[in-house]
Amino acid sequence: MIAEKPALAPREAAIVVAVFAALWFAPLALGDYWLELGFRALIYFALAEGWNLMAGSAGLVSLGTSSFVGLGAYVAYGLLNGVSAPLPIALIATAGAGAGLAGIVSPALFRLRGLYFTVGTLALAELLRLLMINVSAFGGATGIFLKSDPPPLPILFHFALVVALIAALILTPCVRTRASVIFRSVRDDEDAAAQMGVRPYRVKLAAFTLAGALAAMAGAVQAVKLGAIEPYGMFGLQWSVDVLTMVIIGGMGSRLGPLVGALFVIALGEALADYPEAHIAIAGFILIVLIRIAPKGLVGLASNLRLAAAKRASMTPLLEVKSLSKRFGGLVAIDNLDLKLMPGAIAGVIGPNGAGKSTLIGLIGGALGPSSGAIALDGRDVTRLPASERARAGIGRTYQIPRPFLDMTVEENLEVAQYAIEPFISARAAHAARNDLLVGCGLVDAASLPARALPLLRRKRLEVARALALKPRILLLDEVGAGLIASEIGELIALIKQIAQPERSILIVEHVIRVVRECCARSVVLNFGKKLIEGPTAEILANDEVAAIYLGTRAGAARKGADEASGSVAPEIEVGEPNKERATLAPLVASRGTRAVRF
Amino acid sequence: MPDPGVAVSTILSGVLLGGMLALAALGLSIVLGVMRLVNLAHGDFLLIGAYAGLFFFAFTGVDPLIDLPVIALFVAALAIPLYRFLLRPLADRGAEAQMMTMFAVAIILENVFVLAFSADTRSISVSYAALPLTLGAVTIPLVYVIGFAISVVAILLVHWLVSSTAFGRDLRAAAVDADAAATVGVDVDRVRMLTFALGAACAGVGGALIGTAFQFTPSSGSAYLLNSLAIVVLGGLGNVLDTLFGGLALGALQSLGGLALGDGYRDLVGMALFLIVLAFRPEGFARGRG
Repeated sequence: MIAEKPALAPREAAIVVAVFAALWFAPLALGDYWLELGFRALIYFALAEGWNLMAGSAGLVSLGTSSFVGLGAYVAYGLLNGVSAPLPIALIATAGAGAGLAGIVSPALFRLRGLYFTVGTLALAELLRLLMINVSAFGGATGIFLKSDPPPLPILFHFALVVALIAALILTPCVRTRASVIFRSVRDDEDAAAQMGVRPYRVKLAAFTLAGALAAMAGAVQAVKLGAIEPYGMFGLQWSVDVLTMVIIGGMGSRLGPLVGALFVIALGEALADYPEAHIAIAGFILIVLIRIAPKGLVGLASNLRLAAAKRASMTPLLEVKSLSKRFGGLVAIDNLDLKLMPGAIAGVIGPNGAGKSTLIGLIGGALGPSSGAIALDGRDVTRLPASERARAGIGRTYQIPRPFLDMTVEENLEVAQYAIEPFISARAAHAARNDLLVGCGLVDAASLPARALPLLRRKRLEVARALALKPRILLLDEVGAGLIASEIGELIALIKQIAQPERSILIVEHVIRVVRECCARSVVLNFGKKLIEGPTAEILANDEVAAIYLGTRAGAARKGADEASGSVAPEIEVGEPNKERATLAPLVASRGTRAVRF
Repeated sequence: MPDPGVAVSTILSGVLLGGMLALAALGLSIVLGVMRLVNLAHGDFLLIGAYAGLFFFAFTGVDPLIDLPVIALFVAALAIPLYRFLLRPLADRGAEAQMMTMFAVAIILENVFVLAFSADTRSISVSYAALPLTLGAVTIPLVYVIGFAISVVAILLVHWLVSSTAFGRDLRAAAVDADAAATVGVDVDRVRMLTFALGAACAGVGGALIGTAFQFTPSSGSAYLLNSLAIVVLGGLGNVLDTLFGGLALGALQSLGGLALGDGYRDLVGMALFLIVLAFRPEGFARGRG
């Protein structure tokens, strides 16, 4: 059922085509100044994409961009001046030259890992620069002129656009499809990747040659626009500085990064156009600051801020119950109860018969309306919502005594929940989701049986599966352990642990202490509808007062069975047919008041 | 083929110059060993030393070779805040963040040099700069010999510091295994700071020597950085004296390259050598590491 993510979804392809077409006709609308900036942005974008592929995907941090830019420039000039090659042919040849240079130097450079590779690329860049300065056949320090006139700016803009498009199109599969897994494995741990059958050398070579070809083409287009080239500029470290700034500003390994970075660097260049030295120095300062505070670049910074916001959100309780009361005539089943449930928490509610546990589930789930108080789901007041709306809002519950739709099949039982919350879900997606639930809850073989045919444990599993089909943010489990034998309880615990998720909270009302002990980090003890005590489950279960209400002794009195005191022991009480509204005769133990719990 | 006397003189001069650069390379090497950092601003630290020598000499008239301890302290004092405020906060973020930060420092320094001191080619012109030392057909500048001698003395001093002092013992321990060193009470952070300062001081003194004997521009930093790296690769990491031999070898090869191809190829030889050595000796930097 898992389809591979396509390299380019149809909608994205449409966007790319639209953007490309819009840019293609941009020269008609733009003045020379903006066209010039656009040209530079496209060239920089192509360079940053290539660099990003090397570093973000294959882990190759290069300071040798200028080697390829300069090579592309000189090769293009050679072809244009020497054999009057048409520009497109010359560009293809420069791409080949860039890839060729990458191939030639890779045996030496790839022996170097990490930092030393970076240093190696720096050495390569300086080597080529010095070579070009000194070899008079290539124009020496003064450089060479383009013999023919450079094409007009709109034409050059189109060439730059094509190079940028190639960069975007070639690199997209490398970060989106199965290739990205291979690339990133090499980045993270070359040796381990090799043990998995990945050939790190080939992977790095692929990234390096692609980036080299792109940089060479970008350099060639840039050089043709300049009309004259010299080694200090074309082989200058400035290229590496700019690319590094772009990628670090945009965010290493991020898709949007190169574009953001290119625009930023160009804007900076424009702002400081009159102070070239200060421009580079300021770019350096920006690099230092960004490496320090935003290692993932501006794009990463934005997602960090989102993460921080999400983290703050996770500090607000998913479920908050405030001064909740429920009276049945003269009987107070829930008395001024406060409760908080944090996202991802699994909390237990225990207490003797008639303490109000199932009433609490009914109140939160919406089957019962409160007499007073409020219930908030993720900050939203749901007190007045009926059960169906609460289910849609993300509260799923199970019944103590399973209540499946007896004459419907197991699968149909789940469909009810699915189609209620998502009427227009595709049959395929619904089937896939259902299948996952059936597998997860161990009901695959029973999918087409009527619910009536299921024994108790499987009906309980169906209850859980049906509640999960609502994709609940809060799952309320009402005495799912009741009536099960020990081995079945073990299975149930495994199921609960399996359905726990970071963004899903589970509230377990339970008499079977083992379920609470093994699943819940924190628990609340209810007695006569009031919160008796709350805290870490192990402490709760070892608490004298808790033992007292279960055992019927007064607080502080000697506990029966001193051997039980050492463990987290409260007796496991199996309840046959509990009467929710019947008050027990268990003695009331002094309540500790109603401090809010934060799980 | 040039006159044999000139050839020998050139090569000998190259060897002496290589000996001076070896001091700077030593600084790079110990920083690499202790901090696992390729300090890409090392060439610019060297230039700070060279400019400091130039201006101390211009304003005080005191011979830069006498000023060397002051220059060493000056460059080290500049390096300490760089360590504390730029490198230390990145300590747990992997070597790349630190290296890229120093790359940024390098480009800032280069442009500060241009803005402050202009892009002119400079040299510290002491009175005896032009004095030759003649032995038969071989003639070498006296200042090369003096600079070389000072460099060797400084290298031996660093060697003594690393091999025979408490600081050196901590330094070696931190270089082999920083975590283990920390567990036996070595203040690794302090060791790293002092190592970085020592590395910078080596670069500064080397720069003052080279500035006296040779010439420099604001953009010479990357060439000196890469030549220093070539020396580190040639000599191998780990032994202070190997670095000196690496420097002598590089100097000789650069002079040979200059003789055979033209003077402009001197620096090029260093970089080609760096890449070739790495290609044929894959252990490269790794030799001598714990």
